[in-house]
Amino acid sequence: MADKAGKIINRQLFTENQVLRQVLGICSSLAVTNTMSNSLVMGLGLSFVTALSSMTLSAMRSIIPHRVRMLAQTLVIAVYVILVDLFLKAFLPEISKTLGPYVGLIITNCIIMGRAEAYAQKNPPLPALIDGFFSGLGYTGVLLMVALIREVLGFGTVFGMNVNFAGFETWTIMLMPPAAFFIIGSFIWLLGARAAKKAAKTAK
Amino acid sequence: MYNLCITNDEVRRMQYSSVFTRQKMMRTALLALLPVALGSVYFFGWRHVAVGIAAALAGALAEYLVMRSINRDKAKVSEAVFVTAALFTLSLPPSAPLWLALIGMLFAIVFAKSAFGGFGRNIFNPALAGRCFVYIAFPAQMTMQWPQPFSGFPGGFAHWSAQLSADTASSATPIIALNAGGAPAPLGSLLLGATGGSLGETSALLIALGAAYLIYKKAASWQMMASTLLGAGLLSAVFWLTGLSQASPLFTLLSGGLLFGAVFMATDPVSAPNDKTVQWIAGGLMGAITVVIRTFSLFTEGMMFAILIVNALTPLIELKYRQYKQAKKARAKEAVA
Amino acid sequence: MKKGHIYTLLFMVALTGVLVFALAFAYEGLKPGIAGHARLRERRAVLDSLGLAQGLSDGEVDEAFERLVKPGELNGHEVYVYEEGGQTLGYAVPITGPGLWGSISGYLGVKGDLSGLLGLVFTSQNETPGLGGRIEEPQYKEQFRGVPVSAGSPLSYGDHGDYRVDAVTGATQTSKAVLSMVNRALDAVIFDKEAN
Repeated sequence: MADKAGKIINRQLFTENQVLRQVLGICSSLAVTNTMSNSLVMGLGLSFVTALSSMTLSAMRSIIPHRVRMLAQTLVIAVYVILVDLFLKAFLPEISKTLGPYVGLIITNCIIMGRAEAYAQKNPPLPALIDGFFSGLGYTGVLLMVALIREVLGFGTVFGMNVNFAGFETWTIMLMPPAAFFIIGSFIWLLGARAAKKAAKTAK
Repeated sequence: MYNLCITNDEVRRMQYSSVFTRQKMMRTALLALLPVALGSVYFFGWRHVAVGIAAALAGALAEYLVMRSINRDKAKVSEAVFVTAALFTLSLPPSAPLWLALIGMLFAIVFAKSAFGGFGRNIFNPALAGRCFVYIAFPAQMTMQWPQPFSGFPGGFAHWSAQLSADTASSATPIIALNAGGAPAPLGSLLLGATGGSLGETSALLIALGAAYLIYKKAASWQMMASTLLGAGLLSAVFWLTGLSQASPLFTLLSGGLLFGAVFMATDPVSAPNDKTVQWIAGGLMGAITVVIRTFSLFTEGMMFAILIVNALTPLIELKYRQYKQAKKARAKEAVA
Repeated sequence: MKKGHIYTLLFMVALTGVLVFALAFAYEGLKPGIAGHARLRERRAVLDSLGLAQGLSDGEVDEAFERLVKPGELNGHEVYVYEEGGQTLGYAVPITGPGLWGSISGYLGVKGDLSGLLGLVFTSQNETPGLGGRIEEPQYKEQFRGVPVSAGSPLSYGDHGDYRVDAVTGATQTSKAVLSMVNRALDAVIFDKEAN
């Protein structure tokens, strides 16, 4: 009845990627992808929160009354988000300052609630943990891809290391959220076209 | 995206008319741009003509490839892409590098036109969207480098490109000079085009010639042009009389991209409203927003943003106007019954 | 399993109680560390504006700040006063103003005799990274150390003989905004003229 770990992982990373196929978690994808290190921290933070909150909610799924399940989910997720925020403020203050309000806004990321509703309340804790963690990793993967483009074109660096060459002009717009709109849009366009083509082929 | 491969057979079978849709209105628009284009060569040399041609080819290729992935074999490129290339190139500073023009053109065609479904379906003016993209992406090339125009005979016709002078104070546009505290440029030079600025915007006289041709051939709406100028002129008069702005209404109308935008950009048949009344509203808004941006923000360019903003609002304005008219009709019917 | 209303209510109360308690516990534990970092950043900025922060480690920042700087006021405005050996050697004036994309805040260090600047430091700004954001780079900020000031002659970019300050290339608006902020602070706080 519970999914095998491998199937969960494949689903979350590729076929049902939260950002590119479910189009969830876009807001923070736009803001933090200006550098790869920001994206990595944000992505890991989200993976952590989603994994643990999914596991916690799954463990409690038999005692949470149905009509207040969303309240309970929000509470649990908020606790983990605040813990992540406190942790960053206390031990990685520079990164906390760069990410700014977006750490606290992890709670609004639809991916976490989405997994809690869609998976955690119907599955045992360990699969829920894996599902939550890898949905976060799928999100992180997309973020890193977008950030790679934005950081290389906008700063000429990758993780802070210089990669630009003589005569290269940096694209200032890549440092702003609208650039991420276009990049993520292009990825969704590509994946959607590919999926449509596959569907057309199997339908024949 | 997976149908990008074109076979050899297809290339051999291609003729102009199987690839491009002929559009009479677009050819009229190109003719109307001729005085401005010739003027731009006189003032700034031939280099940007080559840039413009490269941009047109890149845009046509991009449109063909993207439309092909949407429409398979029935993909056609609209002749409008040439107008977009011309308008986009003329809106750039004379010293804009080739790579900048290509990036802007590709953005305009792929994201502002083809992503919406191609010709006839775009909400935003593609040339302006492309210009906005490169304006924000490359501020140094777009706002800091203004070569001064050639004069005399044969002027720029004998030169490849205009030189950038090392003295930043004199190599500014009229608006930049005014904002820095200088006296407003004499109206004569604004009319004839003896000032720095983007390729197409410097000579009010040449733009007016283009406008006259467009109106005569009924290829563009004079209501859009008039309402934009009226909106800008009125608000500029208010700001000038109350001391909020140093720019007199006449200076506002003749400087910067206002005239070029009002005549060639705001009147884009696809993104402009169809109904004449809505055109007056939209144009008035465009002019007014331009003046607001020029007066209160730190940007010197207002028209580009104003047109794009109003493009975004146009469907809403059209909807509200339609509902208002229907409500009026319904009430009239009730009064009769 | 059917759950009654009483159970639902009790459950939510219990859940909230447990979670809030756990969170408060974590918060209390981490609070000193977090406050310490914030205070450290602010203190380092103040010291830097006075030209005192070169090469200081975090521990030394606290020690130097406590020894040399204390809150005070100048012409009715709150500033930090830099005193050593009984003499007032400088003032760190908090400055703020609008930039191109958002507001810019920082500290302006002024010499004790009000004849020149000790330094300029930014604590928050939202300018275009790579362009306006370069006001945070040492090349720009260091220009302000030692610039002479006097009432009635606001600072401007360029070479003025006795000082030279250059704007950030390609970031004219942000550079202008910074200089306006500095001049306004000088007028209001140092020279005690209310800006109009």
